[in-house]
Amino acid sequence: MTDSQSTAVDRRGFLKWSARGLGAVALASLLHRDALAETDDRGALPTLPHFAPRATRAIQIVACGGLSQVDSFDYKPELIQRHGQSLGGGAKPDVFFGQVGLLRRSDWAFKPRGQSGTWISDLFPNIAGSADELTLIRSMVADTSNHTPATFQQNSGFRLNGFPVLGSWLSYGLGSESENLPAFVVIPDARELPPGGSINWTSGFLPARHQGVTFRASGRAIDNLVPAQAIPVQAELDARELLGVLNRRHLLRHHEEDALAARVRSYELAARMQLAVPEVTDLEGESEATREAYGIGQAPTHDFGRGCLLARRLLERGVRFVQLFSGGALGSPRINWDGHEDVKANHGQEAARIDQPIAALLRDLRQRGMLDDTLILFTTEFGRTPFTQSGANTVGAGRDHNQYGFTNWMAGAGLRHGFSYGQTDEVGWKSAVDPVTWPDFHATVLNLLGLDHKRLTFYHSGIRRRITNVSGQVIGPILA
Amino acid sequence: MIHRVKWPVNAVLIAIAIAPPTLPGGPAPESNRAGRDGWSLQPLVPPKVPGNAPGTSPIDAFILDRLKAGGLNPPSPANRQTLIRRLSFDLLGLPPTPKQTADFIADLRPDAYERLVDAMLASPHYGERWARHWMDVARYGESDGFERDGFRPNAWRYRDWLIDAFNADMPYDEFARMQIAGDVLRPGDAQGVIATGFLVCGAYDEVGQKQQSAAMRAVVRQDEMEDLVGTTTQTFLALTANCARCHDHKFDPIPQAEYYRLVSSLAGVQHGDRDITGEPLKHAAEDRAAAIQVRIDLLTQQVAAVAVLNPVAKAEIEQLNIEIGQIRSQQGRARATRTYAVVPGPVGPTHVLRRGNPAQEAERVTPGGVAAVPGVAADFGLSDSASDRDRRMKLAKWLSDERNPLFARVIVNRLWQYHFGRGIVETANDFGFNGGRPSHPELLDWLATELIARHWSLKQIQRLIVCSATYRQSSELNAEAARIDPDNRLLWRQSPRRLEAESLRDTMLSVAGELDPRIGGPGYEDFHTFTHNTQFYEPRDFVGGTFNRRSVYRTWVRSGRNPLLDVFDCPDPSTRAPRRALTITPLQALALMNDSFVLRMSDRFAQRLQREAGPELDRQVTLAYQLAFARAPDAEEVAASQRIVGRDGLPALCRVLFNCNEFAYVD
Repeated sequence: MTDSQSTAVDRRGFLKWSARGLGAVALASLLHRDALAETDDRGALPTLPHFAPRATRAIQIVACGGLSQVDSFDYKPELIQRHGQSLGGGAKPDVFFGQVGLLRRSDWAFKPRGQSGTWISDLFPNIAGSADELTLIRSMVADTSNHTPATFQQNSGFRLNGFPVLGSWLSYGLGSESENLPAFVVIPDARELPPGGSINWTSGFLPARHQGVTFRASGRAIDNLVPAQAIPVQAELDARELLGVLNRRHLLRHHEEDALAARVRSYELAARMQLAVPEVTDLEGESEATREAYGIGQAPTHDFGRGCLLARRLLERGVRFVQLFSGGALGSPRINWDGHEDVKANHGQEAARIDQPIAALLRDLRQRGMLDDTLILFTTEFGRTPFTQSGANTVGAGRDHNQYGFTNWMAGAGLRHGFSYGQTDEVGWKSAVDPVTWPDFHATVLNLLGLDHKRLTFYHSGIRRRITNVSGQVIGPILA
Repeated sequence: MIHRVKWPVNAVLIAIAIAPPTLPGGPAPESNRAGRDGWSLQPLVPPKVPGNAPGTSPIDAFILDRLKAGGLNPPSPANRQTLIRRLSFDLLGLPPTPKQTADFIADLRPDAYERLVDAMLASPHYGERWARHWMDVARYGESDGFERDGFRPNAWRYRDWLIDAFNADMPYDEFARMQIAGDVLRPGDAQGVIATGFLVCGAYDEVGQKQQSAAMRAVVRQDEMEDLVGTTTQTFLALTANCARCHDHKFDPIPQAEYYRLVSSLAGVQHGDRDITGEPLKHAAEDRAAAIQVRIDLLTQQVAAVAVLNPVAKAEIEQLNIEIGQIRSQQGRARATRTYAVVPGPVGPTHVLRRGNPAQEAERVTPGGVAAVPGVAADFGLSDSASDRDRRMKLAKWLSDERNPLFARVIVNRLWQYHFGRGIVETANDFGFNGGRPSHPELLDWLATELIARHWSLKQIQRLIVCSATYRQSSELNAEAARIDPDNRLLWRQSPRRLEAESLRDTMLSVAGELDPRIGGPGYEDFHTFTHNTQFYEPRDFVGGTFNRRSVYRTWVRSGRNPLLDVFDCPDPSTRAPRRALTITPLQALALMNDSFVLRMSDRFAQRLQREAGPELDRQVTLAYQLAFARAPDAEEVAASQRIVGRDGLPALCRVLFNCNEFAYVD
């Protein structure tokens, strides 16, 4: 034994005392004295939320590669009339690949939908059926038309690598409502990870526990949930028992040091997680009707349908934020929304994978009453040009990146439903009325979750960082 | 204390680190920004060592002075087995062997401890440990990040340069200058080129730099300059000059124009591979390539053998073939006479950019530094047509001038932080208004002046630190002291610390007798890589050989992070990590209980015990504790351990030991 055993004489009395006071003192010494670094039972910062939240949890669906607004949620009659004409105006548009063809009408018909009459195209016929649930933001602008910096900006507010993403900020600020599941879960596209891979769910300079935990919608849900080699149940129990004995003795020698006690508890929580994860990822327990509604068991909706259903189950069990990716790596063949060559074929293929599952998710959440405190975000890193990516005097089939005007939508708690905010110009090229930046978007999301974006901060290298950097305005008119 | 615990935190998940600084005592500053009167911008004056405790070292005198003032007792020393374990992890990142521990405990010479310190400082593993700290600060990665995340096969030479520099105790001022301008300071010396890897080991937006739009390319370049200026000034001076890109620094005396003078100083820096053929290389890459060839031959034979014995063992053959492919890649990298470094590019005039926007050029600026830094001229005396060579040379000299008081203060603070878990200033990259105040300002200045007096020898400063009674004190929790100073800012004890991710993995390898101790060379690639326009890196747990080298030799690609290291707070290589976060999570428990690497090491650990301790169980158990905890087990532990071995086998015990708090924590 170490010589610290000599202190065992008075251990009983010491522990009695420590149960009252020392534990708390030592905890305060490990957590920072600054109130912002301390957390309450949910793992949330104790002063948060800043005000009554309208939503307590969120799902973000990310259309990777750049969804064309003029083919989906941004109806432009003038684009139909001006099909085949040049954009006109002043200087040649400064687009990513430098090729500016003629204006092209959408291949999908737009119709007013629901009681609100929100215009949505036939690209998303099922989502259109829930038009009265949606809040469109049709005047998004990004800082760049380069995929990865734009995707980083969508996720973290910054164009660069290494900044914490929205889910990490929410994990840091609000923690998880679940005892057994992480606060921030990512469900990548079943085909492949998005470009940049795990960089997209980094906690950046926030502690590592705030990074996204990836769940696979099929197969083994998370890594290391069970031993890599088969271990008999009794042997597993023996191991845990011995570990408990050795750690308990060590803890006594260390006067119940809080970090050590916390580590002991982390093993208990891990054991609970081993039960909780298989339960939440077991979609077989859902009714046949539900599975069918989400498109599970049918191509091409099977993968994304599983993702959407899993997302609902995770939220039900207290996960704070689930991010679902539609689309993987860039390049050919296209497995995301980057329709440079042929928007009709590309967007048709991608929309068919997600339209029914997303609509099912919206209906399911509504029926379960969950939309009253859940926020749904549908985002893309940028939009696409209303003119084609082709020779100057031709109408091509593909569209280039467009950072100047695109559409995101939200649904669920705290929003004006069936409402469209902001406008692009008459052909859908640039935002013209009420432009919304990513910091505005993030500020609004945080607001809906009860957080003031200016006060959710973390000190790093000279700055109290926030997701909105130095700007961000909550979009008041879209709030209910 | 019973908490209702919810995942993932509360007491359970403890985030130390990077949090906002707190001041021990003293009123909060009244102003909301610092002028040139900020504490860190004052000239370095050798402080008077408190003389009230004769016979103590100056470090202890400063610490005791504050302890006394705070009504706290002088430290009580740690025992020897605690000390050797602590020292070994701090200096080498590896555990002591049972023999080293036994020898040290038995060494009755009065200078036994100092001899141990000297031996460890002379160990080649010292450089591996301290290079890894530097790599955190330098945001070291071996791929581009961003969309394509292209691989940089020749980036590793900079990592080796760091290891060699720490091992050789390169004077710190030279160490700094080499990393900014080694290629121009040492023409004809490959090491000079390699050292500049510091500037370019961050992320690089290849797609952004090549896009059609010139306006957007300019934005990407300015983003890159912000990273360069930020990394350079934070690393060497703890100045957050990057905060002045769009406007004057909101908190520190750094005008926007001076940010652009720094940009101008680094304007010639471009990323790329540089040919170092014909320049003398310190490491014989051919030797390494030959050693790798031996391994390839062995594996190839294995493949053939497996194929004969069991033609259906497809998975095994595939695994071996993947490993051969990985090793061949390493062989090629060892032979390549190229290094990822600064490629000097053209330099044009630099303008101040309004709101940081390249489309809004304001006045022209010449290369220079920050005028608020006393002692050294911020104007480099260069015109705006000066060469890249002159710019970087002047910048390197300005940074590292001994009259620049930040330069020495910043590095001694980093050394202190890595020995005590927290710096004298908590914010190692920010000595400005937003950063922390020093808990022991006189001690900080004493260490800084001592560093200069000792010709910038980092090892000598570390020797002073680890030989102090302050460092050698016990980590025991003292209720009274914890009440007075719960943050332990006055250092009334050593804070127990969890092993960093790399040490945890290296220690499992070492304890299992599996560690491949070779120093240097191309990193092992613990991933399967494939290209789908973007380059992907899929983590794989390859077995044995080169994959059993220390974690510092991992190939640190940005999107292919190692899940085991990741979960233990290994930082994102895209971001500067002056101080690592330290969390405790259930995912860590799952990894240590279930990960294939950990289970394999448990098996190997068990085999080693049988090999080295013979067939008797009690000897096996004793050796197991000596290897894992640097101590022998007591009777109860022996009994409990023998019980599990009898029921579930020796590997079961080894797995439990790897999961113990005592294994993961250093007292």
